[in-house]
Parts: sequence; structure tokens; C-alpha cells
Amino acid sequence: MPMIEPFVAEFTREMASTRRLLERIPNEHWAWRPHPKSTPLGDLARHVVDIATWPYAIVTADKLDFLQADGRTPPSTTAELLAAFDASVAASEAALRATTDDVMQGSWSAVVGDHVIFTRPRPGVLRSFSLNHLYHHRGQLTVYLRLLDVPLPSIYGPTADDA
Amino acid sequence: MAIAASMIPEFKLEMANTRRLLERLPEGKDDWRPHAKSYTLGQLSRHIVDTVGWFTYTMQSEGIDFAQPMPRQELSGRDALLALFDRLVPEAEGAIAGASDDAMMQQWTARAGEHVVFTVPRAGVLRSMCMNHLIHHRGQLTVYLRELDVPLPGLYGPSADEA
Repeated sequence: MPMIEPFVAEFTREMASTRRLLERIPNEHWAWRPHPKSTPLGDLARHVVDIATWPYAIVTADKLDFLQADGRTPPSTTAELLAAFDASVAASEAALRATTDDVMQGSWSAVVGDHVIFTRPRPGVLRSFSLNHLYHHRGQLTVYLRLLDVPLPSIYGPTADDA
Repeated sequence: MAIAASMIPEFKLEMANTRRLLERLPEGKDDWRPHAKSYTLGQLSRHIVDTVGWFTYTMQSEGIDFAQPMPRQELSGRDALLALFDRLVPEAEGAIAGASDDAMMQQWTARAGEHVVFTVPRAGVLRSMCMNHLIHHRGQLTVYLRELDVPLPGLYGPSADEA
């Protein structure tokens, strides 16, 4: 089995449930935050969408420089957010499908300008730095939406709105 | 690399981070919830710790029937919860570490009585039902603790208390 295969299956499934959640984000509450130290709703949602682009960066390049803007205009409405998400997911999924074991056996670096944050084997980067990281913030997003009285879709099991 | 060997470093890292978060649980707040439809803090933190036990259960079974209640010992307080976590983590790590690729690729079935919810290789169950699910709820817990003014440890990057 190619090393990338389980990642493709998981990414496809998890991004489908992620989209169902992002669809629920109310436009009028983008600046809302649950606590003064919390990331505002819109920024948290944009971060989730950004992370969905990282699998593409991880398998098509040797590094990602977080000082370099990606050239895209940040979404500022839920419709724009979903369009950016769909483009991110399509690009990442296509790139993952084309990834050989040779690529997977290489290393990848996260950098900020000249400073290297880490260099690790690609499977671990895909796993922790992109996927687990996305699930973490998606979990936070479910609490934000609950606090805003938004009915929640199922992610890993029925929600209080399904029961 | 064997499937089990590829999972262990991630398991250790994520469980170490999970423990750092659970250590911050405030005493006497088990009944607090951020919203009427939310889990209480006590229910959410216990659910996260129970999920650690699912790794072991998944390795030692061929499936689960959600219609059958899982036996569970009641406990209260952060110290008792951490003690349970500290017992479950090495059990799970041992159960994963000893598994052959054949065991990891064996089909595992979740059902609710007669209804089959899913049948996937055991490695996929560890991935989604156990690890991703745990990360999802741990992300929720970070928002709960923020609401309770508890300083947060960074998980995938610095928190607002560390920046």
C-alpha cells in the first residue's frame, strides 16, 4: 500500500465534516470571540482553512515559509471562506493523491524567513502539524458555534441537536 | 516502517500534550458548562480520558456494539482523573506497540445492535475514532478552560498566555 493512501482517505472524510461545520458560521459574528484572550471567530475559521492548504505545501515543496504571504485575499464572509476552503481542499487532495513513497520518505521544514522552526519526516508533519492541528481548532470552533446558538452537525457522533 | 511503530511517537506526543492540559483542570468546576446544550467540564474531561481507553479496547477486540453500555467506574476530581489517565496511557501504548501490520489491517466493526455503523481496518479506527476524536474534544476543552480564565499551555503553537 502506498504510504499516502491512508492520508488521502482520512483527509477526504475529515474535510467533508469540516465543511459541514464551516457552512454554519454566521456572517454577522465574524468578530465575536468567547473571551478577550481568544481568537475571533472569523480568524479561527480562516486559520482552519489555511491549515487545509498545508498538505499541498507539505508534499509539493521542501518547506513552507510563514513570512511569505500566499497571495490570496483573506476571506471575509462565510461564502468567501467556503470558496477558499473548497479550493484548498481540492489542491491538497490532488497533491496528496500524486504523492509517491519517495516523497513521503523525505523531510520537510517549517521556516520563518531564515529561521528553521523544525525539520521532520513528511508523514509526521502531515499527521501532527497539519491534520491533528486542524482537528484541534475545528473542535474549538464547535464550542464557539454552540455559544452562538448555532445548531451543530455531527463530526464523530451525534450532537446535542441530533439527539 | 511498521504501522504500529509509525503511530507511537505521535501517540506519546499527543498524550503528553493532553496531560499538560488536564493538569490545568480547576477543582470544583465539574458541573460548569459553557452553554445549556454543552457537556459539563466534568463530562468533557472524563470523555477525553475514556477515549484513551478506546485505543486499548480497539486493539483487543474485533468491534464494538454501541447498544451495549461500556462499564465505567465513577470518579471525581482532577487527581483521580489524572491517575486514570496515567494508567490508561501506558496500557494503550503497550497495546499499539505490540501489534503486527496484519493486526492493524484487520477489519473492525462498529454496530448499534443489528445496524452496522462502519467496518474499517483497525488502524483507521485508531486514527479517527480514537486519536482524531480525542483531539477534537481536547480542542473543545481549551475553549472551556479559557472561559474559566485558566492559563493555557500551547499545544500546536504558543497560546495567548505564552505569546
